[in-house]
Amino acid sequence: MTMTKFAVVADGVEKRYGGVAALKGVDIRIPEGSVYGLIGPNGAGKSTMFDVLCGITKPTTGSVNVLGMDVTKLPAYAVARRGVGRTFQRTAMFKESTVRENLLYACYGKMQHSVLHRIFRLPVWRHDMAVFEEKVDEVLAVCGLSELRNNEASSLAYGIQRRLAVAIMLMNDPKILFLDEPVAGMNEAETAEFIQLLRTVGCGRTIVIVEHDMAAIGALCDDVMVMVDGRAIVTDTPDRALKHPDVITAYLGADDDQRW
Amino acid sequence: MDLFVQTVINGLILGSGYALVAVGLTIIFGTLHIVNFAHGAFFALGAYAVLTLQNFGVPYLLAIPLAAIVVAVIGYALELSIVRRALYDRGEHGSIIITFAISQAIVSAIILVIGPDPIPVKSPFGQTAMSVFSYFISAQRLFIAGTALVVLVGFGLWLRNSTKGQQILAVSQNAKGALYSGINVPLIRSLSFILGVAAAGLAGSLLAPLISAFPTMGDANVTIAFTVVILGGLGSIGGALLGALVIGLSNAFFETYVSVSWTPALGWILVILVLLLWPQGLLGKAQLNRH
Amino acid sequence: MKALGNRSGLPLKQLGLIAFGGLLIAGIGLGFESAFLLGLAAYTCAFAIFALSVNIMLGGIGEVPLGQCVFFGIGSYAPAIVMQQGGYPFEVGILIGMTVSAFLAILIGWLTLRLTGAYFSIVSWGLSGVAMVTALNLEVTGGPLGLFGFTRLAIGPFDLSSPKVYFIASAVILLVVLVFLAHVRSSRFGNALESTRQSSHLAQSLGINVFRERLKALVLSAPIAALAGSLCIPYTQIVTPEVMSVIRTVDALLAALIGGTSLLIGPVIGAVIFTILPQLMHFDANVKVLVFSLLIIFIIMVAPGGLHQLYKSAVARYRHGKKERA
Repeated sequence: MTMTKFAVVADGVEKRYGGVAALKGVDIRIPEGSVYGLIGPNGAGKSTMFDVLCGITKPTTGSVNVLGMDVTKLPAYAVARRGVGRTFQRTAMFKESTVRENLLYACYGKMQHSVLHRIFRLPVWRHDMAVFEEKVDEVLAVCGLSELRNNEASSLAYGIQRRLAVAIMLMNDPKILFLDEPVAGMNEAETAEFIQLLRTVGCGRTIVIVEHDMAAIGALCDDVMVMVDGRAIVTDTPDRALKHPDVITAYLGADDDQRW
Repeated sequence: MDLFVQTVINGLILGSGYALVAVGLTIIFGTLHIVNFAHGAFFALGAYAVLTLQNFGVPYLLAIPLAAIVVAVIGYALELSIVRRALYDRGEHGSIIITFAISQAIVSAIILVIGPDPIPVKSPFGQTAMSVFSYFISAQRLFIAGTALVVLVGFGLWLRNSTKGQQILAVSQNAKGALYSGINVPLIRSLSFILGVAAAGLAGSLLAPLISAFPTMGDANVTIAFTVVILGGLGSIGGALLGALVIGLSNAFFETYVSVSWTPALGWILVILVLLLWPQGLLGKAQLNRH
Repeated sequence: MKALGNRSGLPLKQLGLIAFGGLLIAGIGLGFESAFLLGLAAYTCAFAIFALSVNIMLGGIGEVPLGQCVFFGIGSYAPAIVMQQGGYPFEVGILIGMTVSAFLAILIGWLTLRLTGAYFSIVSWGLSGVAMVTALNLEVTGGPLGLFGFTRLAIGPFDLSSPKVYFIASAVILLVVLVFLAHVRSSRFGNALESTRQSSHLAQSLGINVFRERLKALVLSAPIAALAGSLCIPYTQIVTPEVMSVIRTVDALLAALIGGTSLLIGPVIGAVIFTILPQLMHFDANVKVLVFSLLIIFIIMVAPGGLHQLYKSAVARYRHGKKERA
């Protein structure tokens, strides 16, 4: 009998904005090394839950433990420094910079030099640059961006931009990745390629995904949690969860244009 | 006690003037999401419009509404040529600099055309003071407060009851939603900008007989207007009125009981304190924090 | 690995640029005899330093620091007060001004840099308003008349009352500031600032303490502004509360925007245009404000990247045209 280790443990998470409750007591257990999906109709609280888990939003009550740290007590940047990577839907990259510069900015956590080290070209700076050059080649190769290193991020195709977003995150060697609707807006071919990339990247890492594309969820996730109206209603494998009567009711009951 | 009551009266009257400037500022922020750093310049334009109209023999009472119209027309021209093209849906950074540059341009144009020195503005109320329950109020101040009250109440009723007013409120609450529900958002934004600067111009024309017309006369008032709208919560009209009264009273008390020479700093100190302590304002709603 | 220069580890390109700058300074300093022109050139250098300081905030973290003139003013008042009240030399005053402004920047930044956009600009403007009223009302600042009649304006053995020395000294200081800022931009700190400016959310998720980096930017910019304030004294010969006026910041903002905020040298180019052009055209002060205000509106509407952007797009068009013809 083996004990499952959990990368994320959250209990009784509530979040209220003024009088409105976005989360009404959610518990979550995400096993280490698994790919975990958060799904549900619009307005179910997935995005809020997601932000709470990676320390950007602080819950009103409840405990959230990620990689053994209490993220409710840490500022977002500190959570990021301790191995939590996340992509954003809108601001996924630094649009005005080249691919290489994007990765240079992302390398912040791996560098130590100060301005004085830089001015006098001291060994600390040389070492930082060497670390960066090595890491950047590796990450570009994994994400298939090697040819594009000097292209401006804003000029890249959408599917490539999403890859860059992942590459940015990988520079810090995160132990857990949070992906916010990573395949939204991609065509089928791009989605398939992207899923392949995530499988490569996911090796030995925990991945948490918020996504509307159920095909992608089915292809990637070991487990999903279905959220409705600020609560978790079902936690199961994607196949079984989507067949669950409560889930079907919830999606049918949702009166907006759901993309399945 | 007499001094106290007199100070309260002065403060309330002062506050009604601030409310006019502030309502314009807050409406522009609400619908356009820009802080109009040129607001003080439009205030000055209102005063100079009255002055010019009076030189052509137009009586003060008639010159006031005309001045507001003149400022509205200038505002519309700037809206068409600059604000519309450069500011909507652009970064804040650009809007701060452009509105500031507009303000500089207007002030220097006034200096070049009319001159840098303060010019007294005549009003039929002159220096007469009225005695109400044995407290003295200058007739001009009473006139300012009365006009401000009428205009603000009228404006509030218009916002609530007219189609255009409803649309302004809708755009300031949710521009995207308003667009989807068929409201002509660009038109509403133009209208708000014009109304906003016209309110500043009106305030300038009302206050000119008290403080004379000079090119940078708007600076002090816009400072206070910033405090007022920030205190009330940027974009909130009710908040602007409340803020105006609070600031009017505190200014009057500071001037009476503390120091006149430090009063110009009071507005700024209040702005800073308010922004640091209540960035959402007294009546501002906490924003839904979704990325 | 272009950034590292050649194999020997010497950054030849940078050294070449520094040498070019040195030659330019020597050329102007030795080539011109007119005290008026040299004085104006020296003042332009001081103003360029202030524009660089403003651009650390504007181009660096994307805020409009309307109150940057407070640090400039402290830099002007500190030597003036120290010389007149304490009889200390000018250099000591410069250092005191820079130190005081850096500490004040920590305090101001800690209070205000949690605000962004218009909110930050308003508070920052407010601080300049408070500073100006304070300078008007205090005795030590000489009230509305200000401080004047300085006996010896010198840095070490270099007597700044000679226009030639004044120009060379301020130009060399400008060059040093430029070299320093070039290294800041290409350091980890510079990267953090650039990522914060482009997207503070993303920067935060990369482990960057956004507030701290913004604070560091302000604390870096303040002593540079103070230095500029001190270096203006030999030109103006007087320090009045006007040094704290927001107009001064606006001038520097204009200079930075004209030259291009994304370019290190942009504010310097802008500062040269901003001070030299009105002199050549014999502009009245108010015409100058009017012309430059309109210019800035034009620039933001047409080329938000300043002359630098216009130049780049002109070059691109030229190359494109050449390709078509070929």
